[in-house]
Amino acid sequence: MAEKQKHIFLLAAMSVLLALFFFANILLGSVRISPHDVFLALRGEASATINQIVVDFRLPKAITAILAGAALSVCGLQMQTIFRNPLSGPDVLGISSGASLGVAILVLGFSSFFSTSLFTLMGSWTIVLVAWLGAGGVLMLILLVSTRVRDIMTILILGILFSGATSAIVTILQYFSSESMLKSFVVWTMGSLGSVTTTQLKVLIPSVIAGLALTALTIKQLDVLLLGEKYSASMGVNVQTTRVLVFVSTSILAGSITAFCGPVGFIGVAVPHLTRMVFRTSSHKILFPGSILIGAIVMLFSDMIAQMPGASFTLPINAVTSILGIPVIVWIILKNKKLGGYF
Amino acid sequence: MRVTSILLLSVILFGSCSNSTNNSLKVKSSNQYAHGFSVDEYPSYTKVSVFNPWENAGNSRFDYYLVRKGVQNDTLKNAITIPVKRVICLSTTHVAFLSALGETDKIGGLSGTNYVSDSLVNKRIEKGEIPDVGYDQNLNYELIVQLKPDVVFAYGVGSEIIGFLNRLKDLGIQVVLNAEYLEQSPLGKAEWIKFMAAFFDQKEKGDSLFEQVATDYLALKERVAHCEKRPTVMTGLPFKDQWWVPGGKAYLATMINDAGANYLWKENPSNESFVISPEQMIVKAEQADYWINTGIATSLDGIKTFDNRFTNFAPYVNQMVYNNDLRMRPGGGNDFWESGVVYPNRILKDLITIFHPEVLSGRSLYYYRKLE
Repeated sequence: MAEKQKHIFLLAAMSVLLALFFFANILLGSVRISPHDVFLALRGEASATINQIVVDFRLPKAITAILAGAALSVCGLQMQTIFRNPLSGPDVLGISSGASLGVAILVLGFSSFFSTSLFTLMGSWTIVLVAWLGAGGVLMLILLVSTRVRDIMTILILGILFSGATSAIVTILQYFSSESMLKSFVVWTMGSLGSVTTTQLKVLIPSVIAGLALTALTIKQLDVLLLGEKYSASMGVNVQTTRVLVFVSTSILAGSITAFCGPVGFIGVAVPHLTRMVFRTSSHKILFPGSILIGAIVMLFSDMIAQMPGASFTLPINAVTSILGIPVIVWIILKNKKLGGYF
Repeated sequence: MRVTSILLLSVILFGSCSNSTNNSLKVKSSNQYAHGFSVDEYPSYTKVSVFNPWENAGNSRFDYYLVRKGVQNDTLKNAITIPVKRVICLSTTHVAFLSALGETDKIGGLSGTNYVSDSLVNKRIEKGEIPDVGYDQNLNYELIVQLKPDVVFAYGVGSEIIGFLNRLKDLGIQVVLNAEYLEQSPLGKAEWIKFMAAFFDQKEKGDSLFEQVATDYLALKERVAHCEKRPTVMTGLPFKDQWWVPGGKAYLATMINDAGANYLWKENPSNESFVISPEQMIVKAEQADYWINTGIATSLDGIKTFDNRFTNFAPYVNQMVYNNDLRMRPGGGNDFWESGVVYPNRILKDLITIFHPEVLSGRSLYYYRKLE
């Protein structure tokens, strides 16, 4: 019982922390705006310029950060459990690579071989759509393979091979594309939270909620899966169905985030470990909400570093999350000696 | 010891100058705006030099000796015989200079044939007379050798160009570096026509063409220099969170200023572009009257679909948005960056037509287009 109370207390504390980071994130930016003005703007009472900055730019960016952090962390948690591999993340299935391939074919391929107006290609929705198609395509492949292959490690290896193949195709496309298109693509691979508009949020929010809801359905099965697939089967868990549910929810979550924000690295690998450290449990009933909260907090924090208060430019979010995420993983490995303890 | 060597050196230098009157400088280079090159004429040859042809090139300098066909030359090694008969251009700006000089029939190969705007050159490309020789790391060396050019006009954005220069040199091909893109002033860029003219033995034509452009440019600038109303101008379109804007001393900033307008970052001391966040642009562009060079956005609706948050800028609301893509080709090449380099007076005329319609009324735009 004491354990349960501790967990509830920690979850509550994380929620408060999340709220604090959310407001801090909105307060900070490349333009200095006083807290008072920010609050006025949130109520729509500040000057037009400040209103626009806070409501049209900072608010959607902070919400996107929460969604991205929560979605990627939950993906990582699921992948680590399903593959029983502590280094798994949202990308082990090759979903982000699939999304990159979609964008690369659009941005690099089409512009090289067809003289389409660049603009129609770069419209905000087109990129999102092809990234989704790319992620979905990889998901189909994985599902096809997983119905034929029983061994989960084989699927893991196939996923890694798929990512390898897609990055090779992306490299070839880069080789043949023009300088300006190459630059657009490279900028896309750096990730960006700030380019998600309020209109796009109307699609991103339901997608992430749907993905999280699907994940919530698998919580019990994931707990049992930790004990091994054979044991799970004897406990009445349909391993195959669970896998399909997990793969679908992961591609909805990781696919949507990659589609709207570009690739965002290492959050998905690092946050589940951080969550296990904080809550000291392997129960998904706790880890699932915990990863959502901690993922969102870490992402808001990364974004605050990325926009470097006072500087007039922002750092690419993908680089910031990698720089923050990698030391966390190293630290956990060194501290625990082995990460396999929870699996 | 040191004094002796300096003395010795000066004796050698002095001696070498005085014993051959044939090699004394006849016409010294007389650039008014360009800093990156010199053309010095000697009785039996012309010496063309390029200084620091890429950013942070240190104190590097490249000399080329041009000897007119039929003139006896025993002393100068690696001299280029002029007028050159066949050249390869690695930049479309080189094509623009050749076009102005009427020498495009000498082009035997190009880098980026899809991006050329010049109609004569395009006809030759369609006929298959001008092959694409690749670009940067993907240069088709075998094709270049096969084309047997007298000169390859190249440009470098960094010291990695040295490797490429040496490789072509090993293949026995003369490479000439251009650096017009590094000139800060519009007239400085245009003055490079004198440099290109030297290789075709067209000094007079090059000089007079530039003279016309400069006179026209300065006259236009003077017409708006004392305008009371100087509209404020914002530029560019961001991709993701990055909004690139030209430095206050950059090419476009100078043009905006010369066209009698205020560039948003005119106080900025740099000649290089820098990146800002959209937030910063919103604050800075509060007072903007015009929005130019909107990149890949080709209509007002286009900007809206790109990111509907950018429709709140005053120039968008007042429909004062202009893009420099009127002469853009389907493949993505834009004549603004090609012939615009040779004729900055045309660009300036466009900008004045936009910012000061009362001064140049009734003129239609050449490179620019109002977004609808």
